[in-house]
Amino acid sequence: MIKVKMFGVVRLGSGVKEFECSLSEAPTVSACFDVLNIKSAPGSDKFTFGDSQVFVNHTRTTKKNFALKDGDEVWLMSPAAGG
Amino acid sequence: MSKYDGYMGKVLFIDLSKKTFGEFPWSDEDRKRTLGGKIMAADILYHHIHPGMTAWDEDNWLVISTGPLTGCGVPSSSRFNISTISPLTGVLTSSNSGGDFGLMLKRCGYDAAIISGKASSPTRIHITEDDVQFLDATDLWGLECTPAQEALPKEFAKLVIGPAGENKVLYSAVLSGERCSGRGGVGAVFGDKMLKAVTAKGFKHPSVYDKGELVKLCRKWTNKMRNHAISGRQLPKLGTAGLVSPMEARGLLATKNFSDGHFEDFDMVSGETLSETKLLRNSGCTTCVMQCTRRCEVDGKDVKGPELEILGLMGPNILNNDLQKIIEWNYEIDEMGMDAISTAGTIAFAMELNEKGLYDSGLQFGKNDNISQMISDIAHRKGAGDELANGSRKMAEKFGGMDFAIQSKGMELSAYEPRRAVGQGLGYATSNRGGCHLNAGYLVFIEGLGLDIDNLTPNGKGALCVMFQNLMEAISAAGVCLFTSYPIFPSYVFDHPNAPITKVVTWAMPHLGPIIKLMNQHGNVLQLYIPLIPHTKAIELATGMRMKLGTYLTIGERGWNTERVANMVLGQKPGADTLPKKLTDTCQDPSDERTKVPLDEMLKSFYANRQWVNGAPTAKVLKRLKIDIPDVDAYPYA
Repeated sequence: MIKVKMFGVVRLGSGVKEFECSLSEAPTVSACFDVLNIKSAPGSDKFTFGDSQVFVNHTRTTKKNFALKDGDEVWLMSPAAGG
Repeated sequence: MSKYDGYMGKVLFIDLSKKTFGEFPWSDEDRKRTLGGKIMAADILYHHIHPGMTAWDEDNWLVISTGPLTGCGVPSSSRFNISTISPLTGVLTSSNSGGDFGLMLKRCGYDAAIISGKASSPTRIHITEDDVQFLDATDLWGLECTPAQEALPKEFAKLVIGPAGENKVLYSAVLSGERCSGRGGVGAVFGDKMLKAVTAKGFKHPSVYDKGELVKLCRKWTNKMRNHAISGRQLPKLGTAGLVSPMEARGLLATKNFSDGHFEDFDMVSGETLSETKLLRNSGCTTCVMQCTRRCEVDGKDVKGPELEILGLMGPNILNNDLQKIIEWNYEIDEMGMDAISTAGTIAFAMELNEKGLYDSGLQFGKNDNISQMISDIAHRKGAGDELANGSRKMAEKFGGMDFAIQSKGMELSAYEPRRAVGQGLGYATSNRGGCHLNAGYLVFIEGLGLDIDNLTPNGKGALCVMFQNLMEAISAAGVCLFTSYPIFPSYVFDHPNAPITKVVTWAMPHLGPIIKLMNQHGNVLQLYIPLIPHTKAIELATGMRMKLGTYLTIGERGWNTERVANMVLGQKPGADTLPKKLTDTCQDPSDERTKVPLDEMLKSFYANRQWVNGAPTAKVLKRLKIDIPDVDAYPYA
């Protein structure tokens, strides 16, 4: 199973905090967004790999087709700043 | 008066000892050199201080200053600054705040107010267009910040201190409404002068050089901010609290007094959880489109909610996962009138002192049932609170533990763990006022949070740090919020964090060191206007003063150097730009040698960029920047 957690604008916009899916549903990080967009409520914001920062097991990846493996934890989040 | 619009043209000088007031000489040439705000204050203080002077001296001045854009209708321009000699660090501090006091000071006809001397009994200063009154404040003395403000007429803009300032807690704040001038203990200087409050009420407005064009510019600027990923989406939706999760993802979330950068329960105190479970509504400063303040409930009251710093430092940094407790502590700290960062940092340090058997204050990591009492005890200097009221550096001098006292120049660091953003570490070390993330240059923004440049390499960080420090200094001096600087970076790179162009930008930045160094040292040649930095055009349209990018950056550089040379007059020695060994000698990840701050290496580059020797501006630099060489024998570089 893959555990996917949402943070920042991705979480507030989709209304989804986290979900689990099988490796066949989300073989790549990009596919995690497809699952997210199905799970998010109708009318909520949709997100893609292109507009989000992605971390796999605490390491940032910028590769859309980064292959996941069973047990991976994926974080989808938005850039942030403050002070 | 001034030939420039935007300014009110007068600086008020108040002598609390003699109960007199008058006008302080400040020329248009001074305005051109310093703009206003913290740079103006640094210049005024630099020409006043002398070696051996301390925060408690009767002739230590408080300088409350605005910028030329304050009150001119520019986005997020209600800022004002308070500078003085800090009782916490012994050198200059400057504390910038929102709230309405700066706007009202200008409506009284003043760009700044200098407060000298000491009152013999609790006093409130009341400023109007024609008069300054010295009023008895005995009835206010002892009140917390909200009751003190509620006891004053609603129509006045107010600055007040709480019990902490009265008891000279070294990191006491001054509050204007709910906004804090916290860093460096300006509230303690108010308290030492027996100054409980300053109020102001006026009806004047600054004239504007080209109102039509300024309105057009501001409309574009506002739209840009509203459509930007950071100022238009993240900050309005999550506030600075939205940084907890990104910091955890990158190992930047200070945990257990900066022993780690990860906290398992981070999401229990994250901005997302705050929004989902505690948020009543947003609010913010006057004239601000971001409205980044979170409103939460404490005892049935609608109060200002926690920002990132206290979420991090009163959460992971003391191993606490109770969000409601943080909301309550945040409110209590504000009511007592203390700087949240230094309060929380000192509490975490006391916990580690206790864990190591060096000093038992009763505070322990993971134990949160005695924190509220400790906050009150610090403010009233009771029991162990009397020790904590002096900050972590002074505690370390007394009890030991300097290697893990997380401070720079005596000021506690904010919540960003610099071993995963080493440029931020350089900024913390070199910051003139001490361990401040903003005075540091805030490189963490490009070292993982907003952009994703190599966070562990020292390459290019000296140059980038200097450039950001100078730019932020100038933005602050103009009177606008530093958050207006985010749209300097095109939203595209945040909207498309994985796009090839974003990757190129983030890869290239650390390699641009030599080019940025040229800009840092010869910035004045950049006599051009860059639409990405609308601040310069806004200054031109508001004041009529010619302001191109190069001039602007040079003013920022002048401010930085003025603060530094003032600090050296006050006794700061070479070697002051440092960090505790926990951050420079111990790796956050023992298996990765790069996860510590390579400070010595970066300092060489930083000093080269600033053309300094051992942390001191040389006479050549001072001359170029039109800063007087200090008239003291001890200054070794004159």
